[in-house]
Formats: sequence, C-alpha cells, structure tokens
Amino acid sequence: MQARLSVCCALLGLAVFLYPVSAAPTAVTLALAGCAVASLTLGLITSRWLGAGLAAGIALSNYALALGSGSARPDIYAPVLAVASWLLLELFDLAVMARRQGQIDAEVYDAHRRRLITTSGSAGLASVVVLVAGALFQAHPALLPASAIAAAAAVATAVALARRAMS
Amino acid sequence: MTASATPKLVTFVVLAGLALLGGIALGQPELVVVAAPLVISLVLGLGNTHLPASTAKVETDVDRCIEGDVVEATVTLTSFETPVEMEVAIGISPGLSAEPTARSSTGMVGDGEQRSRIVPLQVIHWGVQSVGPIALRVHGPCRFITFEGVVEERETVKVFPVYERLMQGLPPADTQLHTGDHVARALADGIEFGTVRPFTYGDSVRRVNWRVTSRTQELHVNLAHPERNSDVVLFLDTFTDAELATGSTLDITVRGATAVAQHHLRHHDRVGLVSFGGNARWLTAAMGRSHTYRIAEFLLDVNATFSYAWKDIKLLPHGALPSGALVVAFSPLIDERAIRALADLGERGFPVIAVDTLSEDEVASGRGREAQIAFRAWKLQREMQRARLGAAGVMIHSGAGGVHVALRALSSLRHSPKAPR
Repeated sequence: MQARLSVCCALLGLAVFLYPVSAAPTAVTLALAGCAVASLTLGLITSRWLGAGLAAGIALSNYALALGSGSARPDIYAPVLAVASWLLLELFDLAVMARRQGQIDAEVYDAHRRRLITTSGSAGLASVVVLVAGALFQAHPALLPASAIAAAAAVATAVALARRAMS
Repeated sequence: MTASATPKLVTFVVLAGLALLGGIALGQPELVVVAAPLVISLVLGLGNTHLPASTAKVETDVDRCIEGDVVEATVTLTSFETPVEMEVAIGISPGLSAEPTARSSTGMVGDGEQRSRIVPLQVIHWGVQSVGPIALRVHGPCRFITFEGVVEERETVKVFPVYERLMQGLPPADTQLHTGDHVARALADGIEFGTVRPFTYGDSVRRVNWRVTSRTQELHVNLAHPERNSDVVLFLDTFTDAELATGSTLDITVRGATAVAQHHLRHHDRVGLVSFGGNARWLTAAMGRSHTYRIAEFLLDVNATFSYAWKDIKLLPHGALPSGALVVAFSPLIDERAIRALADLGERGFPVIAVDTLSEDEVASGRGREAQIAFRAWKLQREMQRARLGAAGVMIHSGAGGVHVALRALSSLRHSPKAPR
C-alpha cells in the first residue's frame, strides 16, 4: 500500500508542479518545478513533512510567479489545482502513515478515502466560489480589506481550533 | 493523554497563511483559491478533534511456558467516542521477540465497541517476562492532532529454561532413608546382591541361599544392598554474571542447575537449592512433583545482585545443607565470597563438585604487552583459586565446551569427592 500511495503522490506532485510551467514556460518556473519535484522525492524517501512542505511552498511561489507573468486572468483551472495540491499533501500523509505505522487495517484506508472524497467535493466548491467572487469583485475598493480580514479570520480560526483541541 | 500537533498541521497552517497573504498582497485571487481547501480541511479536522476516552488492556494465552514457545498476547482496545484511528504498540521484555510490524497496529475503534488484536510473541529466553505497557496514539480527524499515552498494563509470563536431559546423575556421597535409585552401601532388603552370611533368628526363609546351605550343611542367607535416595544441594553463585559469547555465566548456571535438579528429582532424590549472592535465598531439600515446580519457580527468580555485604555459609540455615548431601556448585569463580563459601563447605566435610561456568577460552586478552601480562596474571590467579578449592576437597570441573559436557563428565564418576581428613 505504501508503494502505491507513494507512486500516486509522486504522479500527482508532477502534475501539480508542472502546471505553472505549462501556464508560463520560462526557465525560472521550470527550475522551481524541478526543485519542488526533488523536494517531494526527498520527502517521500525520508517520510518527513519538511520535504513535502517545502515542495508545496516552492510550487505555490512558482504558481504566483506564473500568474504574474501569464496573460489569461483569472485562471479557471485554479480550483482544480487547489484541490490537487491539497490531495497531494493528503496522499503524502497517508504514504507516511503506511510507512511508519505497523499493521494498518483496511478500514483505516476506507475511512480516509471517504474523508478525501467528501472534503475534496466541498473544497472544490469553496474554491470555485472564491474564484468567482474574486473575479466579480476584483475592481471593488472594499475587496482588499475584506479579503484581508477573511484571511486573518481563517488563520485565527484554525489556530483557535488547534488550541482548543490540544487543551 | 498528551496532545501534540503533527507536522501536517504546521505545514497546512503555514501554507494556507502564505497563500492567503500572497493572494492579498499580490492581488491574485487564484492564490486564495489554492488556500481554500487547506483552510476547509483545517476547520473540519480541528473542529471535530477532542480528547478521546479510550482504554486498552493486554492478556496472554498462557502464564507459563518453555523457551521456544510462541505466546499470543491479545491487546483489547475500547473507545467510547466516535470512531477514531487508534495506533497501539506493546512493550515486551528482552526475553520475548516479535515481528516489528506485529508489535504495532492501527485500526478504527469507537462507539464503545472492543477491538482485539493478537500479537504472536516468540519466547527466546527463560525468566519472568512481561508483556506491556501499552502505548496508545489516537489520531484526530484529518490527523492534525495526535493524543499519546501509555497504559501501565502488564502481563507476566514465566518462561522455564530448556535443558539437556542428563542420562546419568552425579554420584551420591551418601544415601538417605527413603527408597530411591541409588544402591546403598549398607546391607538390608534390596535387589542388588551384597553378601552371604549364616542364618540368624529373624531372617526370612525366602532369603536362604540353598546352594551355599547345601554345600556347607548350614543355613545361609543372602543379604542385599537396598535402593535408597540421596540428597543433592545445588549451590548457585549469583554474586556476578559475566557475559560470554555462548551466553552469560548465570544462564549457564540456571540451565545446568535445572538439568541436575530434574534428573535427580526424577530418580526420587531430595534436591535443595542455595542461591548465594547479593540476595541469598535457599530452598530446603525435598522430593516429589510439587518440589519440581518449586525449583522451577525458584530458578526463574535467580539473578545477579550486586552487593558489598560479606556473606558466608553461616548465613544459611541448617536445613538448607543436610548432612551427607552432595553439593553441586555452579560458579564463575570470580567473587571471593563465593570461593570462600565453597572452600568452607569442603572443609566442613561436604562432598562438593564445582562446575566452573566461566570458560577462559572465551575470554580474550586485551592488546598490548601490559594487557597480555594482566591476562596471564588473571589466569594464574584463577589457577591458584582452583588449587585452593582442590586442597579444601572441592572437585572442580571446567565448564569449557558447555555445562552439559561438564555434567556428563562428572556423571561418569564412580564416587563423589571425599573431604580431606
């Protein structure tokens, strides 16, 4: 199971990391995609989150760079990329779990499969809503402060929930 | 249980923060879109995370077994909350071994149901082995938070050593009153022919030797040597335990003592035990099936305990060393207190056979001239100790080549050693 998950993760990673290259084929985006692939491979080999986190960070920077140099706005494939990036991290987590933990029951994988399907649906929907809202209200002067407040609220909610769960 | 954030949570929070910040700063809603699944996953996962109410216990299918057996440990998990991903691992003593993947497992447990897992454990060494404690790790939804705890639940398994069956026991010094397998020197009723003597009043007619009677024209009767039992006391030097390539000296001691005790108990002898070390313990000589179990239990608890206290055989009660008993000692001849005790026993008239459990062939000398000299001096010192014990009437046999080789050699002796007069 670990090998299958690792292969799926690597293939999905390749697709996610090469998307900015297809959007803006420059030497910099290609180099950054290569770095992301190398980082993810290292993460899969060592089963450390640092590799996957670094790869995702590089991919995010690469995407921002590609968006800056690209002409087509807004990017209609952004929700797909968002769900694929999230799925990539979840698959990496499952690959790490399969490698580190001993015997794992099949129902554990089933539970994770169900969770990924339901969450990816809602995440995809939310991404589309955010994209459409961003495209519609791009020229509105209140968009920047509203989105800043929303972003701060999202991060604060996540941190507060984490603190509540750990206390 | 202790809660801790996983690297996944840190990665998700950092990436979501970066994407949101980048999207707002650069005015690119696509980056905010990328952050959306991460934020939703964080909110869903952390919102449903709470301290789990889980318990675990461990049971073994047997509480006594022999080296080489397989013991099945059953770990039962219970969780009273919504089903959670629970990872469980059991700790085992060094005398037990299990496949690394079998020792830990992950499953979904919840809604008050019980989940049992069977972990096969290979028993590799004698002693009191424990299974437990149980380490639990409960993963919250989306695996952002883990709760870790240790359940101090233990099960003990008494593992008896495997021993080589002796074909012949050690020669007894003197026979006792009970019926046994040794031919006594005294003349009485028995099977083994002793001598012929003239008939006296009270002799049974069945014992009349008719051939001698007809030849001498006078009534003669046969006398026989009766079959009697003997007393054997096993003296275990537990002051030190030296690790050798073939096992520790204490391991050799226990295996040898088990072999001798089992053989003599099978042949109706009374067997006693003295564990002479930091903790001096003894078992008075007795016979029978129940005593076999008593000895097995006694040997399981034998261990080397470091002590500075001076001990001699005066510490032992009279019953621990019955008169006329053959003393079979297992000692690495390292601790002066044990050597003095053995010499003392020999000088007190006990026939003592000592098996040297420390084979000098297995001890490598250090490098360099000084180390070589020290090694030779150590060997000379041991030679001197053996000579001293020999002068006290203690018969020493080297355990080189295995304790059973030594015991086989000793069992071929016709007589036990005699104390010097």
